[in-house]
Amino acid sequence: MPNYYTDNKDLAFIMDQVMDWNAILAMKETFGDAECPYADAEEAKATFLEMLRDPVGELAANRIAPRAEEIDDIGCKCENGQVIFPEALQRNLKDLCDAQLMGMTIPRRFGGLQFPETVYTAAIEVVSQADASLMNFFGLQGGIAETINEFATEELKEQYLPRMSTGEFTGAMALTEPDAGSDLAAVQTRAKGGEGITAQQDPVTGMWIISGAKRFITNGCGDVILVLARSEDPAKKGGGRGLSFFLVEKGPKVKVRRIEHKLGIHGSPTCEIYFDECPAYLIGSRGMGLARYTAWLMLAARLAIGAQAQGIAQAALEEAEKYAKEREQFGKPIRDFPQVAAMLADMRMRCEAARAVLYATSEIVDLHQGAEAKGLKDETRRYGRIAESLTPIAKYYTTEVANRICYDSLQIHGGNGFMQEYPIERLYRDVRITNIYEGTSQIQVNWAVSRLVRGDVDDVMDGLAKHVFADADLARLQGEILKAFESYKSVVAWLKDKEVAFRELVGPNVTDMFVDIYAAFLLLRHAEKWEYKRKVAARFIRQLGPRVAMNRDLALNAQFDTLAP
Amino acid sequence: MAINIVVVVREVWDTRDLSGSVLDGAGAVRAGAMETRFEPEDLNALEAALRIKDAQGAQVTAIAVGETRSVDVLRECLYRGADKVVRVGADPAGLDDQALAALIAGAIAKAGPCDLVLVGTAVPDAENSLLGRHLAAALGVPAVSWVDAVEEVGPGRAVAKRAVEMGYEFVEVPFPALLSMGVALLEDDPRAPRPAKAMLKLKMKKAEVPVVSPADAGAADPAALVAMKVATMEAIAPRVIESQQVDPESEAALKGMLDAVLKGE
Amino acid sequence: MPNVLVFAEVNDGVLHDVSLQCLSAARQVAGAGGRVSCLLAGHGVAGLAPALVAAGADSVAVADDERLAAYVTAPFAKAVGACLDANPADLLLLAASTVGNDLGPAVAAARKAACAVDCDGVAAQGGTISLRRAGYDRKVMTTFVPAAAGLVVGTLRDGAAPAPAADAARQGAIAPLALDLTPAELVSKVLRRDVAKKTVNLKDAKIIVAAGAGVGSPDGLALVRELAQALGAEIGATRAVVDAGWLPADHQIGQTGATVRPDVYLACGISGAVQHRVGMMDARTIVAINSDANAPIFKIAHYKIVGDLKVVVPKLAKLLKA
Repeated sequence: MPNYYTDNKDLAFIMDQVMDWNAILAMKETFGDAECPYADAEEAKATFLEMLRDPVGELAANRIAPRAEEIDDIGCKCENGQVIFPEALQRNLKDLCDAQLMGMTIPRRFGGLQFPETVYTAAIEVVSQADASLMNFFGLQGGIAETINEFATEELKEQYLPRMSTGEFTGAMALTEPDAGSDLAAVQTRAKGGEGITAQQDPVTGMWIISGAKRFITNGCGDVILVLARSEDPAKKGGGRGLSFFLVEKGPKVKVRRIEHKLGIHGSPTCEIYFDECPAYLIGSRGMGLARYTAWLMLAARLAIGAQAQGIAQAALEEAEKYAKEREQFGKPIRDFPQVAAMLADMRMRCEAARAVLYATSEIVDLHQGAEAKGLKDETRRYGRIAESLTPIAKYYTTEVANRICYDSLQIHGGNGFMQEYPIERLYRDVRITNIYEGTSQIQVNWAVSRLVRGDVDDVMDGLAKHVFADADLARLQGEILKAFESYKSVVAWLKDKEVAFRELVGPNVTDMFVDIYAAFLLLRHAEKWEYKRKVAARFIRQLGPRVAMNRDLALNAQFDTLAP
Repeated sequence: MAINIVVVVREVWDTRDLSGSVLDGAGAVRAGAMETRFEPEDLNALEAALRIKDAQGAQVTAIAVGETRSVDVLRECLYRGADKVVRVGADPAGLDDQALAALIAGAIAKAGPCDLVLVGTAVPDAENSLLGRHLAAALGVPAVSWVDAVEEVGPGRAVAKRAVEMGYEFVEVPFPALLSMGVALLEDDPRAPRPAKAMLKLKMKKAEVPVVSPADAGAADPAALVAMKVATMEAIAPRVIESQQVDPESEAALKGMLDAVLKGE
Repeated sequence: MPNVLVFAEVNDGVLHDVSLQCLSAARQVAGAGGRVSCLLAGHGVAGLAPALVAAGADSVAVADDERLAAYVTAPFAKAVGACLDANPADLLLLAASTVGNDLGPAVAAARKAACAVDCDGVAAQGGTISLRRAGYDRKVMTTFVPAAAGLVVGTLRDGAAPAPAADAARQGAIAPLALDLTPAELVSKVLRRDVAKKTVNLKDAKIIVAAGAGVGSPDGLALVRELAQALGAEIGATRAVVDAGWLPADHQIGQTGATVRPDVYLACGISGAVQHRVGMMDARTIVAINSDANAPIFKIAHYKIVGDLKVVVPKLAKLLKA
């Protein structure tokens, strides 16, 4: 039987050989504690890898993947305010609950598995390879539960987290509004009870009342909805400072008005919901909704979307490799034609480069969470700074790469790829949302470039640059990367005194340069542990120089143009 | 009242992705070249038992014969929801189904009351194993073979859907009884038996697997019970097929193929 | 020379083809000095006894009993046991059917006899009976011998021995066999049977077009049917198609269906699980259409068409009609 974890040799390699489990576990577990289920780091790591094999890889390959086509065909429907899932999707959700996977990162004391983000990220990749749309139930659950765990009162945690662990409750995050997409500070949904609006906080329950419409809400029919709403008088505290974060439980006051008809991820209902004077719990402090809690939630969600894109990329890559092997033209398989062969090599190379960046990022996120939980101030600050830079970069890179891989995979399928008979047609549609939702690529680049110019990941890059390779070939390749790195550093230095608008203009070039170099460093480190990776790293680095030079030149010559005849 | 179900599970050679011969030059199985796996039809039997447990409650006990390696399949049973496991500490290599059945029957008798015994029908070294039949004889209980689904359970009886030529039979047996499970369980959606349960796996990863010795199972020398032994094993030369790919897009290629095929008639 | 007992299986009043093949295998093993006896068990089956004599039985014991109307293990095993007690045999042969593969091992288990099912051959050399059986996905042929002297039980696959030539002039003793059944032997009951009547003759078909789960729907099956018509072929199916209710069970090919050896076998949307392959792998020419190039069916196909059958099958039908 196929298994989407063990069959994915690169992912299994990264989990087994690359991740620094000792470091992650030193931060996240206390061995010897009565509550800790592992004797030592080795046992914990073995447990994580075993879980990725079964149930995660097993379930994805043998039960979820076979249902993907049917779910895509039927899609979700909305009748009289009720969202109706295709039967196969209901079975998927039951399977995830039965396999006890819905609370992967929720603390054990709330019935969860309390696994590191890295394990969860890998699980999201594996599930998304089987059905990208299912990720929006499985992969967003973690970020929502973690936000509750991080910021809500103990009572709320006890009320909601155990039922999120079992999967009885699924989550949604209601941020976007018709006029507030990327610009969330423009949110209009109102929490009654805010001073200066109407002081109607219920004196007995302390409940807040929320009114307003939210749009494009993934799984808006879910049971636990985190809502960004305006609680403060706009005259006193306008924009983002007037927004607070609320928890709303599904009920008669939460109305699903309609669901969207979408290009892809048909198995994930995208709802327009209306809060009709709906009771809500405040999470954390008033006025911190956007700056603190939404930012936190979005960071978690972005990593999850990166993993979703990675899973789709893996699926598209495998479809292309399979098709190119089977399809014969002019008397030989099409993979034997030079252009197709080169495309396939580039697809695999990009897929593995993106995966390297994704899991390097998840590792940092784990270290950051662990440091915070252990109360280590310096580490928390350092890892937090790196995680906030790498997460948007990883999201940007994996989703753009996944789009490119799907594009190339469809191309390799030729006319057949355009037809619905082959899975690539669905993958091509599904992947398209990944570089749009949870912040478009352009938003990610803006986040990234300000941090890159500020030097937020300089220490990480310097560490990689100074690594001493015992192997002469690898050391030579490192030399190639270092040349590109110098070029990148000169562009960043040049940007330091440029205004924000110009930095954003050249942001894509700068971010591309950075992530190219970062991925090259990572692939080279992987090559120390797996012979095969030498070929991947060598190919990647061969293309790195010209690409970095191009981005450098484009950045240095960039100008604001508005073209119209 | 919840019934007691015993599921017999085996770890077998996985020959599916094996390139080259199953046998080495001396006519023995190339153990080094192969992985083992949970016998798929035993997994179906476990799935059938767990479905009964889900629907009406049952105590499910999994039994395997094997040296320490078989602990793996037994743990897999625990991870999926089996309540109890027992390992009979004997090496199954060289034992036929008759001898295995004696060991398992002894272990079942020791494990406590049992209403239903489930075992998979197929094994990789044959199409149909005889284990179910021998086990039923050793236990002195009625048995039904090629069971694709357990239609009704209890009180005191089960109705099994048995695959036969040209259809199905519905056979009623009183408890205690044995059912040999076949392949078609997998035809239902979900097409694959359930995976492990993560929380349960976390809890059970170091669970004790109790061992019953052959002597305790009433067969101190199981090799003496072997009725049928292997004389020789030979590789079957694969039928040489001159295989050719036909391009489905090319009418000429399809026409050519049809002509060649029909002319041969 | 060994004495052999053959269990003659009857379905819907017709002797099982393979039971007759067992008689010819038995005759061969028994040689000139051995005795071939036969057990005919069922209800309303007595009239078939002369056919068994004609096919090579030296004697036929007839257990014609209404309690044997439907097959359940225990009473049939009792009948075989009574037969063996009356006339000890060295070898018991049965058809490798869902009856034979159940009954043979049951008798062997009760008598601690050596047993192998799904055999491709049986031989006796120097007083030792051996059975040959394929395993490991039909990659290995294993020869079994009993560990000690005593009864050997084997079930034979369709084609393991030739069909015997009927000789109406042969003489043999036909005697009734009385059955003394205890209540304990009658606890299992066949509540109902959901079995198709035979309306197609797949075994004698020269060309078979067979449909697998890949046809996806009755509409997909209609395309396959159209192709079968254009070819003048019979239509076969996998168990999945029969279970889905798209075709009656008499179209089924494979382990619990027919074993066929046509000149041309066109497999449409059949992945080729071993349960199906054992029923058709000896076809002279195999053409497979499947969208999954890794489907096991391609390993035994002479012509491999990797593509969507909903496109390919109508194309073929059109080419034939043109």
